[in-house]
Amino acid sequence: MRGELLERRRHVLFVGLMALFAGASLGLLVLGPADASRRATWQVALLVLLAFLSGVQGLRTD
Amino acid sequence: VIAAPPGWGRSKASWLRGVAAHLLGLALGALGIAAVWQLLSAATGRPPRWALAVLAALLALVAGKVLALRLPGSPVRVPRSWSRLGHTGYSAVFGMALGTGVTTALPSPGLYAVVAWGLFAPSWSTVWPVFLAFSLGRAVPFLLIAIQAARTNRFADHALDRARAFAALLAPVEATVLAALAAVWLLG
Repeated sequence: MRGELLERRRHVLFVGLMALFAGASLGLLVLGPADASRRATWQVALLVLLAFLSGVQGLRTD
Repeated sequence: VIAAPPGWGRSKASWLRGVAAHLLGLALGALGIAAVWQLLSAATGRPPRWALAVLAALLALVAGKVLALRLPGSPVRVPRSWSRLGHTGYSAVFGMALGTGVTTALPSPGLYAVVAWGLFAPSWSTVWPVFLAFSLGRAVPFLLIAIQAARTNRFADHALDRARAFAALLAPVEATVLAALAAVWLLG
């Protein structure tokens, strides 16, 4: 029971951190300075995160 | 899965070979399909940036369950007959099939955006890290579950069920990332 609770907390923390990263990216990109190089770096970072998330979700289908 | 995935049972050496072959297969499959998208793009031309923005926005709505759209995916599953290749060979081919992301069932709506990036990106240096991350996303849970199954000497049903429940929690995060990408591509 305690183990399950700890695991659930870890999951919430992990999902929360990723949501925070995604939200911060969105904020920086929309509200931040229009620097093309910075935008290109964030673009690839977001795509790396998206690809990783998609890979993990493959667990549900394979 | 139709055939048993690599990583459980067998001797320690065989387990290690199977896991290593599967991980290598995942990476090769992902990088191989990335090269295919880039070659296809070079032959047919890159899609326009606005199309990527529209696609990412639509995918964000699908991932966020705002738009109830069933996206098409491959009906193919890794067939049991491939186990004739032997444990290591089967593990590698299984990994390659999963690593491509498109030869088996669609993992999530975000894969469409990843494929679109493979077709759109002007340089290989911005493509391979993205596809390698996809294979890592498949490798990390597989490795954790396989290690747990080996340590407890039990089939991984329970761990797999818990991992699947966790993976389902990631859909809203994916929707947020897709929305951010739509904004990037729209702003140019």
